[in-house]
Amino acid sequence: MEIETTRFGHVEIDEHLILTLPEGILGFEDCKRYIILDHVDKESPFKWFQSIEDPSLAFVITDPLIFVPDYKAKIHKEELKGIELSDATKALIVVIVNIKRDHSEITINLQGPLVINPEKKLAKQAIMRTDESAVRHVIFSQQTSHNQGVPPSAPEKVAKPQSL
Amino acid sequence: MLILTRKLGESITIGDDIKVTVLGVFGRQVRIGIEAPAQVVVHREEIYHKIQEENRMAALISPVHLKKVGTFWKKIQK
Repeated sequence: MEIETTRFGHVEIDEHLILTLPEGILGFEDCKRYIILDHVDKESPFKWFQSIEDPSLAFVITDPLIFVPDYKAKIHKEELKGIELSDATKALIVVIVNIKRDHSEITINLQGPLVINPEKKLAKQAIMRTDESAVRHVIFSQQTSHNQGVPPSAPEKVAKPQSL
Repeated sequence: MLILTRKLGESITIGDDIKVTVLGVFGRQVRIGIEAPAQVVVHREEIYHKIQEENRMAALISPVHLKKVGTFWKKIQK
């Protein structure tokens, strides 16, 4: 099927790869269906988590283990139940990326990871109970921020759905 | 909002299976115990708000931002 996105224009996706988040993402509870899109740059560790319902809604996601090898998402059993998962090791964990507007810092949200049940295509944003994991874990920082003036975003050409 | 006054060690029940007990008062801090069924997920409010706010910020990232960041990533790799 084809979906409409503000960032990438029309994108052809395999509807079998659509992930359903029954509770949505915190702050965006109305959007329940997402698709993971590859970043144009294949070597990039980042992917897009694009809403099916809202063309303008997308998050940058990544595998937290690339940046924090010892990261362990402590997810409550009941939260796993919500995505029909009994075995936490079968969950696919990704985290939402944030980029400071002056590009001086990239952070990942380790406290609210996205937990995916790849088999059932169900997912949810879990919340860690403790403060051990930061909402803004810095993975890149540069001291000298240079404001070069970023041109307005134009739709990117290729963004292919990623197979889980 | 229902407002109740409780003494140390006293409880409030919510519905049939949720019990909130005041366990201790230390100056401006109150220690609260919550007994609830496993399917009731309890979180401190500020964590919810923090994650909500972070999500809202993250949703504003454009491909241009990401492209810019991609070059940093390559620098780190090298």
